[in-house]
Amino acid sequence: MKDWQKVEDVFGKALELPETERSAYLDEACGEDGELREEIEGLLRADAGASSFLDEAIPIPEPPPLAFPMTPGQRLGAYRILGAIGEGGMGTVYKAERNDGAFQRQVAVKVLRWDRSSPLAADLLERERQILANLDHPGIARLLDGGTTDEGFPYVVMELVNGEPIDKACDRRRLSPAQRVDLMIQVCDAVTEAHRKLIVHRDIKPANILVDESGQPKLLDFGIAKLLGNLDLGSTAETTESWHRKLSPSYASPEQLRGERVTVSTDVYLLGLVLYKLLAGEPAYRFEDRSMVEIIDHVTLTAPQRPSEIARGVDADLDAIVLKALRVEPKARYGSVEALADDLRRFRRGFPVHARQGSLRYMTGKFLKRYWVPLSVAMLVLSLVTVFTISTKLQAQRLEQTLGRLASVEGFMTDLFWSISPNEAVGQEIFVRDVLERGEGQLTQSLVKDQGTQALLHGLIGRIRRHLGDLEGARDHLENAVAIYSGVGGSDFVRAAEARVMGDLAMTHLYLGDGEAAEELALKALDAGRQRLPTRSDVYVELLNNVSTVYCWGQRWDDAAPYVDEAVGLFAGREDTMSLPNAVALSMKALLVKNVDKQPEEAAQHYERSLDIFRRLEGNVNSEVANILNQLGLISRDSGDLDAARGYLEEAVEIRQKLYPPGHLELAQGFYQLGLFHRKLGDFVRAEELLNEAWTIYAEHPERGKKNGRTIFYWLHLAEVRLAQGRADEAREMIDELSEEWWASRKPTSQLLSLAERALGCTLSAQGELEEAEPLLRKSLASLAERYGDESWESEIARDCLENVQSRLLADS
Amino acid sequence: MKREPSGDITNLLHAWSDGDDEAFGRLAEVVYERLRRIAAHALRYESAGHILQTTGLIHEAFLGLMRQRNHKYENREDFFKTAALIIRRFLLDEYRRRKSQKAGGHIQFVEEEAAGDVPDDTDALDYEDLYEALEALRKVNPQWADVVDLKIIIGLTLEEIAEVTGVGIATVTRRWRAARAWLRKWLDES
Repeated sequence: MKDWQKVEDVFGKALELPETERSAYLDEACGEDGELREEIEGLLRADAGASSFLDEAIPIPEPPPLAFPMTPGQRLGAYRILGAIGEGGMGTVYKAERNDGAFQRQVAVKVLRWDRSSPLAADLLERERQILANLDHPGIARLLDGGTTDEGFPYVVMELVNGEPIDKACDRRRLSPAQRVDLMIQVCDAVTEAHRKLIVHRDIKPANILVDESGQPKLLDFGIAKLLGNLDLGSTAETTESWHRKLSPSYASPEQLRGERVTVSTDVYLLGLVLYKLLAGEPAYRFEDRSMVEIIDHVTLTAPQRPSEIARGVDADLDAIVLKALRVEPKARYGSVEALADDLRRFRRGFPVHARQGSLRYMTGKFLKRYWVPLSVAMLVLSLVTVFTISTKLQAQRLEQTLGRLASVEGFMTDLFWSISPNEAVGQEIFVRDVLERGEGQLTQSLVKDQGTQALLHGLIGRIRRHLGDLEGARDHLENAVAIYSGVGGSDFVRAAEARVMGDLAMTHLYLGDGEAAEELALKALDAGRQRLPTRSDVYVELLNNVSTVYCWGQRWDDAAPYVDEAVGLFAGREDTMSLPNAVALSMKALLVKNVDKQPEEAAQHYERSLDIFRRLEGNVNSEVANILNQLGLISRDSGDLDAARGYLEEAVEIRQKLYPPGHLELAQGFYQLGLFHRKLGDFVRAEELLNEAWTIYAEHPERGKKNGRTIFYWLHLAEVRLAQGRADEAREMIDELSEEWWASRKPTSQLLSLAERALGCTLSAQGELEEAEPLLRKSLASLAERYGDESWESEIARDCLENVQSRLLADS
Repeated sequence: MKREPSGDITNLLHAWSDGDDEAFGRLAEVVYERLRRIAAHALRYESAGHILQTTGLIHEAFLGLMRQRNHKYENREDFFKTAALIIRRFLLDEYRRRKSQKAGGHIQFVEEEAAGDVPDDTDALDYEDLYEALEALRKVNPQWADVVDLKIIIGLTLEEIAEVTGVGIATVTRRWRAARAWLRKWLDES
């Protein structure tokens, strides 16, 4: 061990001495220690040759320039750079022109800031490219081309928007608040289009909305846009967002400032900020030189001033709309950009705006219902697709485990779908379909190589399509899945999955009208399930339920009975009866007991148990719950317990009103049932209201309309209810609206025809035209008795009428 | 106005230099400037994970300083040691990267005025070698290596080093000359 302190001391002292005296000093200081002396002499020699050595600190190189500058005249593929026009979020934007001789056009070229050696840069640009390629909307600048510069910087070529930022454009053109609102509606429509493609822009600000000479606003810069549900890319972008964004806090939402999850609500907020600027003339918030913490506090704790307090001519409705879009909590804002646009439109048309009515909770509830369930499902699907793709890279022996995990995720996801009925999903279909199409794209482009994975994915998509009501699409996928499964060997797990897919295919065939194929497959699936699945498993019960459903559908009660009984029996001795398949089995049992054993009271007990399970597992607002309540209502009605019946039916209608948007066809059925009930009770006024609701829904439905059979069915009931209130002329007018052709084109045994004859007959009777009424009523009664039974309520109405006519005819003669 | 520590290094530094020790604040600025540049590099070149690592380290260094506001010499030294560690590592990576590019690695690096900062003539010091020499010194005599760190890695003057470490200027000068000579010798011999 060297004595460094001594080395240091002696070396230091020697340095202070003239060179000629050093040797003598070292003799004295080092004495016999030759090693020490050698060390010090070495250092002294080195020191002599190192006078300027390490004089300066080691420089830290300048960071590289942010963008590779393009100079005018420079070529980039088919484009020639004309000059820089701006700094975007991720790079520099140049104006360029393409000149093929044939045509000449100017474009905007965005050259990325990072070189391609950065994986992040490549991802981001590739993502923007994908995003833009999917967007074709007049309010969004279009993607034309893309590539990489010679230096390795990626670029995209976009439609050049010759315009100015929306706030400047509004001021220069001196637009009125109403005109500004109109512009914003167009911007909202463009953003809505992006949302339909599952894209959140999240950098909406005046500088990114240019208004061209024609007055068309165009949304630019999807550079930090986010693909909803694409977990893979989303996570990268999330962690680095604050870096890329160089957050301009004046145009950022609270959740962005806090680094929280960005959703469609973020765009609602950002549009609110832009609208605020357009109306008030200044930003909602100003942050000169404040720290991030202060900014976040400020934005989360203080609402901006009302625009009308700052600028003149701003309507209170607009205040309300802007402030609703700018709520700190995403859930308190408009549920979608579409809703924001809708309210702006209502304002322009002079309707009351939603921002000023209704409770927040109500709005939030609606929002969650209409939007988030499918979106969260969509996210799951996408993440699944990602996992699927990755899983193909896994070793064969690990695949099995992965599939096991996926199966549980799949179960969770499809359960989500169970809870929204096919009809209910109509509003959100666009979203889910989009996601599905992506998954399907992966399949058709053979990105998924492994067969087991393909089969799972086909099965999954088929199942979802089925619940969306797209039966043909479902059938194709499920058939693919079955075909793949049948070709691969495999463990119990694979066979069980196969059984489940076959069961789904069976149900799809059934609803498509192919009962034979459904029966064969359902039985085959059950057979496969019997061998592979524990009978206690829900999937097994589901397979049993499939077979029962096929038979019940064909009213083959006796064939259904053993399967229904097996399913119900499996749960008989069990503690854990809270399972959906059990609930389904119980309601099927109720159906059998009611129709075969003719034991309505026992049927009601089964319905009650089924109802209890559905309520607990799925909540009250649920189509199954409504259906069962309806059945219970009918049973109570028939047994004469009218109060109970009214309770059940009213609740069924209430649930359906929560479940479906106004105008939904399912609602009409509920209104009709309840209306009919009130008619039987003799409350014709309430009956008329309800039947009118039912009729209106069908008559105004784009795919039904006034000529639809069911619409006419409600119409005839409505006419009879009016007749029952003594308004025979009205009833007559209503019936006369049915055209000659309509009467002529009916089959003689048609249900509608017999109802129409009854309605007309009774009306004629009321108007005293007995001779004409009599044959109509006779004919009607005959076919109603045939169809509903001689004792049925339907027949009784006709019979009462007919007897009345006949007795009056007799009296006359 | 008092700021709470946040994610922003500038704020941390401000909060810290609100204290009475202005001289130390000025020294820390020097370090901060160098660290900031490193962060800028990381931001432009590295993957997301790497950025977080680098900025995380820098952040840590300043947070450590914040926690130890009593300004004891050993705490200050700790701070400078951490900073020196970050800078040494960065320099090594960066100079290696540049060398590989000159050898025809990735794309040619585009530099403007900054070109003068980088010793790129053949006689110039090879940082990689210097780094090795410094690490060799650290093994045999950490006290000297620390002075080298403060002088050429952090970029303090000898007077500032004396101020930071609380050691007399004469001793600091002596150590520096000895350490420098040692490094020179090591480089010449290898």
